[in-house]
Amino acid sequence: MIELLILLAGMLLWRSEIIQVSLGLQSSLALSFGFILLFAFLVGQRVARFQLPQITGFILAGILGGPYLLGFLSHHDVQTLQIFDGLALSLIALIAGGEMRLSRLKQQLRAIFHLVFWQTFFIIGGFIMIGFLLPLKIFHQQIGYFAPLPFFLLLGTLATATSPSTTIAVITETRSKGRLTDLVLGTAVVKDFVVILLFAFSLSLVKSWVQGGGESPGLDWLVVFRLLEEVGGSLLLGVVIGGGLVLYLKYIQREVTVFILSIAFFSYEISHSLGFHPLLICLVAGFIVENYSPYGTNLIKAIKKVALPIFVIFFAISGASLDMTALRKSWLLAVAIVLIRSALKFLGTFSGARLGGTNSLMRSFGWAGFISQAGVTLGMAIIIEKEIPLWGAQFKTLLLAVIALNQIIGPVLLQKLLVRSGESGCKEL
Amino acid sequence: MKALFAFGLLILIAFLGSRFLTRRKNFSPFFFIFHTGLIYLLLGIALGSKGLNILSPEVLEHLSPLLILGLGWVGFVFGFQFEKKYLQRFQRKFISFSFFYFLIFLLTISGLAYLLMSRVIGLNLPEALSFSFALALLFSLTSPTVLDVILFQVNKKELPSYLARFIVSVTSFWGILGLAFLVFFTPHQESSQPCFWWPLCIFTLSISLPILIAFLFHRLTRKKVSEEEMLLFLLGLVFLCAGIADSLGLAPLFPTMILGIAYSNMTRRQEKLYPLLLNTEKPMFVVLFILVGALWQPLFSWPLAWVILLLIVLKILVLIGLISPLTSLLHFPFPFSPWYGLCFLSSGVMGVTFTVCVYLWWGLTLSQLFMTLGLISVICLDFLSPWVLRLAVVCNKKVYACLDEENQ
Repeated sequence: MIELLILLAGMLLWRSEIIQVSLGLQSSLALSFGFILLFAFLVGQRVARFQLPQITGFILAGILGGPYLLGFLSHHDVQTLQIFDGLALSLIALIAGGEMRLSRLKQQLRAIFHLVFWQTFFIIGGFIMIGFLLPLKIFHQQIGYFAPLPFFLLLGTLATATSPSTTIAVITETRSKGRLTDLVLGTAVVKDFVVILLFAFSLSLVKSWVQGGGESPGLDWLVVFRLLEEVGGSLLLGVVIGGGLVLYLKYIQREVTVFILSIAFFSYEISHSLGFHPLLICLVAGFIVENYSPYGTNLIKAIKKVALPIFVIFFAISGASLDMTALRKSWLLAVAIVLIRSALKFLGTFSGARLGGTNSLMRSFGWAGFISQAGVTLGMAIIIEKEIPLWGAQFKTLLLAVIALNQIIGPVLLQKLLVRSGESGCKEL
Repeated sequence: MKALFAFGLLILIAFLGSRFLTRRKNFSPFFFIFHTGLIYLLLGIALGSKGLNILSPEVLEHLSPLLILGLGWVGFVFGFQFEKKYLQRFQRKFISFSFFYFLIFLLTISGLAYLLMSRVIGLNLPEALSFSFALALLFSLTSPTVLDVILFQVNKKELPSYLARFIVSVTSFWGILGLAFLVFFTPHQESSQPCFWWPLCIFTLSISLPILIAFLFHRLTRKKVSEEEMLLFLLGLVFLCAGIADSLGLAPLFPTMILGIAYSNMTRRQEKLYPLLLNTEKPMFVVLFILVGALWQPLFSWPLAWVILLLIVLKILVLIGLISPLTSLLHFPFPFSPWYGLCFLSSGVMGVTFTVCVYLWWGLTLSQLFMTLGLISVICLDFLSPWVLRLAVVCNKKVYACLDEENQ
């Protein structure tokens, strides 16, 4: 605690106007980086003492030190440090793929299918129904006039999403292993792709709807083909990279960590250049190594050597980039959406778990594993802002507030679920 | 996105580089240029704005924390060896030797450099003075990398080699201290503050803050910490210290050296940290060299080549001439062949780091000229080192053989 206080007090003093002016200090990205790395880690450690996931601490530290509160990190710093996002995402996906055992997944395919289907059905259907049933005055006051169906179709699609990266990070942190863990992870990952596909369809529909003044919505088949190409290409590239990793681990075996770091960067870069999905590429690569070679453990071990600083920075930066102004502006509506989403998640998970034949814990508390939301949803909100100028910007603001809340409570709920299931091990990273 | 690509490329090259460096056990002198990593400076030039432009100025700006981390890392690793217990194993006269060596260098090289700068390059008086001091400091730096490999190759485990290795590894301390003094107390700093007390205040801060950070580091690592946590603390605190220096407009080399010294004398976890530093330093140095190479925009001219040649010749002469008077003045317990002075020829990583620090933080006019002069000198000296070092080791062997015969 003393270390944390020294660090915080030192930084507050360093950033105070008197010191800044009298010493003629310049802004330094290295200083911000060093501070946020240590600060987030120490907050994570403190938070873990209250039976909360360290990730929540990293995110809270990011929010606290970010541009909206204490301002230790400026918007420019946050933007520059997002260079680590790609690396972290790829590593997280590699870990996730490496943790997925084909034999275990096969047993759960039915359950995963039901969970994904019923969650999607209840959430999208539920939000569309709300659009027709509830008085829209409160929404119109904040967002301006909009047609309910396209708006709630998009809101429902985005509300379906769960952050696989946060899910994986909490699972890694709690060292959870077991049927429920596999089910939550598998569902989060599969749902991620379903949501991406659904989003493309919904956006295409909504765009033609909005542009056509609410008449004759149509489907942009080009978008559909592009999506299929994206998924297929990502799978193929993932297989190639996975194969390369297996060969490396078999024949070279030296400096594995550095090699994996560079592979993670290249996967991210290539995926962006070709328009593929980086998470899927690395997930498949990790899956190949785990299931088609005896080197899965070596891979995970090598990644975990360097994962801690990268995870800390990734989640701290994601916390710092959460828009607190948006939350302040529309917190009431955001809270309402978070509550409705959670209720619909409960219904979807309950039905899916029942029909999929999973245990009673999943039926009653499984919803808690699917609350967190992060990068993918944020990316979609940004696309909506660009594509639908009529109400896209206001929609994004509202969604940012929702993401901020979900990302704060999501990891906590997931950790509680994992602890309750008895599948969590040591609570340290 | 380009920054991300460049970062990935850097890591890959660092990996390949460090792998290449560690694989070869039996080097020909030519391969020392790979071993010291200086070849990556040239690779950096190829990737920089004058080459493929992958490491363009905008990308370099994004990667600036990495550059600062690299410079800070060198300072920390260098400072970390100054553990009191380790230093106490050696008599004080060896530290005195390194100080006198530095002092003589400062006087001779700065004198010649001043003449060359004003006459051959045509700099005006204040510029030539600053240049010559900075150059003298640069030429006083020493690196044990090449010496280590030569001693390993010729299987030298006798006391003089051990002592030479010690003196070579600590001598750069004076150069870094000199850089700190120069940065603080020369009128290059754009500051309206009083000209003596103000720099003194900043100088004090640049010593006290790293000590405070070292204390924090010590407190954080007092309890049992995993290797991953140790790496996180190390990264965070070196970043923090280097960032503070950057924020004050200072080169991170000096404050991080103080951090290393302070921490190594506070902690009892040296054994835990050394393997971590060893594992990370190779890729870190390669990344640093590539970034430095990309920053560098070489300027070539004949007068510059002459200046470099003359300075190198002077350094070799001083090194050869210095060893006998100094060892007899300090009453060394055994004789050294004059050629043994050539152990001090290479400046390696320290030379590169120093040059970049002067380039980025001193605010010296014609800084690209200094960068060219400094880096070419460092490369040439490291290229020459293996040949002359072998000569030195062989000559010293002969001296011992003669002494043995006389004794018999």
